[in-house]
Amino acid sequence: MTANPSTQTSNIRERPYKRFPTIERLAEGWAVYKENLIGKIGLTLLVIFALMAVCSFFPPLIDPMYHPMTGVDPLISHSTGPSWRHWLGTDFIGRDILCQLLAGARIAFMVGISAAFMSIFLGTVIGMIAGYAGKIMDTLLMRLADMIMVMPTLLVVLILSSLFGQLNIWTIVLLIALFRWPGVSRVIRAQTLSLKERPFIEAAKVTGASHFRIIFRHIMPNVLPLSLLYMTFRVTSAIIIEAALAFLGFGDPSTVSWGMMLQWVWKTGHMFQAPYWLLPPGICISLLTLSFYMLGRAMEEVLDPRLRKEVAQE
Amino acid sequence: MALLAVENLSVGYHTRKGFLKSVQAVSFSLAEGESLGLVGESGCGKTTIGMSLMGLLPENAAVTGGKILFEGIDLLQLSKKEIRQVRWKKIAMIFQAAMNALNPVHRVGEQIAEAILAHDTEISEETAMKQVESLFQVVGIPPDRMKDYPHQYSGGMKQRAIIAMALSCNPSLIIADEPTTALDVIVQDQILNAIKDFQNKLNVSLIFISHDIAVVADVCDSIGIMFAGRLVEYGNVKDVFDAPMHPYTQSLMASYLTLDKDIAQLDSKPGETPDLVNPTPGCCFSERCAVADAACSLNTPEWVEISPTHKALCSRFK
Amino acid sequence: MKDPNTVIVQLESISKTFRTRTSFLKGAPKEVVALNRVSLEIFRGEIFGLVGESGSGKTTTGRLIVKLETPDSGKLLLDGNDITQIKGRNLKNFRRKVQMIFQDPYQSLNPYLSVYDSVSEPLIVHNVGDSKTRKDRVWQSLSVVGLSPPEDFFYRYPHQMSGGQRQRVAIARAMVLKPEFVVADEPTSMLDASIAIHIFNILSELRKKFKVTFLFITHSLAAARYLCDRIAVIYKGEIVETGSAENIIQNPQHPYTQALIKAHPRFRHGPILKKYIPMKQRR
Repeated sequence: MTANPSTQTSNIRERPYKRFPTIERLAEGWAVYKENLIGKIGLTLLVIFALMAVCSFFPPLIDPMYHPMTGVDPLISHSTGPSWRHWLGTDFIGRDILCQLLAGARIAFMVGISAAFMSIFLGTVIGMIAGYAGKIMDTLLMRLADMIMVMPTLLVVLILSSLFGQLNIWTIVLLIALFRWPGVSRVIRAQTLSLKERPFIEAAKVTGASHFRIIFRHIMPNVLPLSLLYMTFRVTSAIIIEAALAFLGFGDPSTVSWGMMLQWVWKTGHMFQAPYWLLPPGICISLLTLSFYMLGRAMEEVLDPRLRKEVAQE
Repeated sequence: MALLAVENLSVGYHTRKGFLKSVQAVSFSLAEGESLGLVGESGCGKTTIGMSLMGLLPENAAVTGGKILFEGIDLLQLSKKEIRQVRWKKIAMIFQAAMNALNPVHRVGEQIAEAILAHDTEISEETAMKQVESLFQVVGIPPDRMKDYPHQYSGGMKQRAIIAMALSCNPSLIIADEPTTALDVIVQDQILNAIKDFQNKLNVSLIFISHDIAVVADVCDSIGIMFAGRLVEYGNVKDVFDAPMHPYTQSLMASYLTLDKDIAQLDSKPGETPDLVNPTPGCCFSERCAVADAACSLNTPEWVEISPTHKALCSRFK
Repeated sequence: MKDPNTVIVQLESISKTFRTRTSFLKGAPKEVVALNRVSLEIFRGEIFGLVGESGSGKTTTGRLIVKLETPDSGKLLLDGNDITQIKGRNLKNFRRKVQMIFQDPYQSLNPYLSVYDSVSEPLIVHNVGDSKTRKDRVWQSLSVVGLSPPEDFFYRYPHQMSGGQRQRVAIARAMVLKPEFVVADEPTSMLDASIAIHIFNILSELRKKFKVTFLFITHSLAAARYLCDRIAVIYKGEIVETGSAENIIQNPQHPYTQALIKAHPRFRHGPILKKYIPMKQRR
């Protein structure tokens, strides 16, 4: 090779990053995912709910009476059944139920994804540090995780909110995250423990990389797929916790969530008289959590090649 | 009549990247008591042939042609139930790193007896254990080790136990897929001697699959060299080793390091593994061959008989 | 230019014992003596072979030299300096000089890093050059191991490459800092025989070009004979014999060495191939 390396390498700077493992793996993963029936159903449902969330912005623009919190139909002042004006009917003060449902979808996604994201972030970082550091640090962190895991999230949040009054939705999100990271961290720690012994990590040590670099540059990318997988499961629990809090009256009264809707149904005594009001939020909570769960299960097959049905042989 | 005759066997796998032609038009035969070595680099299809013979191909595999005539019956035409009669009873297999096949929570002697009882429901447990004892003698494990657990065995002993298990149902053919790859040289030597021993004593036919050409030379009567799913040279071990005809065989011999000869310079260029989904036209080895000419990449080569017991698939040797 | 007969790496009476945890099937924790008072001298510029079977302690020796493990007793010297207990900045400087090539090419590269990322990692860790210089050095390293044209390999990922190619990337990574001493731990045991020869030739070339010293750990006497100047045979944690490669093979003194040689598979019918270059000429 007599070519001058400098002239060769200057061309490389212009060359785009083709075939990232992430993109190629996404494509490959998608191909596997597509074949999973559960995954397809879950994804379809998710897309429907996502559309609902997006559409939640439109009705108030059409007519202010469609606003989920403040939209009051001048003609109606009590709960009515489905009609052309209100496709799902109205609640006890004449607000449109469908709009509330759409707004609830938005809140559910927001709460679910934010809480899940925060708890995964915490859990992953703590899990990686515990797994990599071992010994005292590991013991300390894992005992902390155990203590938190043992506490009943719902109960503690209830107590906190009864002490501090009504909680803001974002405070609720934060609390959910703070109580839900231990589960993730255990899994990430286990994964880190097994990765720690792999030759490429030892190679990084022999190269002279610092512990920080090894954790965040070498271990993290290998652990992220698992984190993302667990995120889907965290979303389900976050949505349910928020709904439960709202139902029990400890939610944020200024946000319309499905749990809040259920609370209004119950509080205003319409439980058995207004199925058009009672059923939609309940069904939505179940379906949304189910669809995230299905997404997670299908992703599991993508991420763990052993679960795949196809085996390529030598 | 030959015990086993494979005629034009072609097997492939359905993968996401397309249909992988793992084995293409492979033919060979095996007489009773004869041993054949299948040698090639990883991906050449030798393991697939072993799996086809046992009927153990995975779900995405498809046999696209050919016959496997075992004792005159085409194994490919049998139903799953009928294959189970043949598998283990008449044809047994020793897998690669088979020592991991032993269940760690059961005693070794019991596991082998279990295999015997599973295939022969009429004999008693005691008889089965006696059979295990005699098998252990054949493979060279002291009978008092029968009551031990697998973790108390060394790697070599575990492999011998696996061989005993394969022999337990008195098969007429044993397929050994890289049985000594995971073992040290001294242990490997012992296992190879044990294999040669039982072959002689029990007159069992053997197909020995390996990437290690010297090991095959030590154990087998005939040898088949495989590349990219095709058999490229086939014949008596002595003939093939004295005068290797196919360029791939020559490069295999040249790249094998031994203690008793000086190393010859390599002829072939370091090649990429051949593409089995869209094989290159012409000879499968033409891209890596040192003596290939233009015709080699256009025309598929024919078998050239160098002697009744030695043939090679190459158009450069006429 | 250093005197080629100096000792670059020296092990003085190194011992290492591993304590294993118990499994529920056994009783007390077991102790495995991996190395028992092992002493070795490796000269600058040579390829030194350490031959032994699994469990002999050869891999542990390699790991001790690159400081992935610390010895329980004994001294480790690099260029006459005691490096047994170094830490911190000294350890980091040590790592610039001593590198390792691992056995399993399928596991020694981070699957999420491209070839460029993996090979430039040592440069980044030791703050060598800027982005432009790094690209050049990675380019050089890749072309020296025969991955050409190097720019085609920059953005490939391990799963897109064969075992032989991956191992070459691992060698490029080990060499990019131009280390003085490299431990090659069974670099070809997971590769086919034809690829193995190419890897050996690369190591030989690297030694000639960069005057780097190699410790070649293997279970195959034949491979050691092909590649190495001197060989030490290790058995159950002790060095049983040391000498020049030819001497060990032709005149093995220790019964274990003799047993190893006897057990090695030979061609019953050795072919005589047309092109033939005696080993000495290939140095």
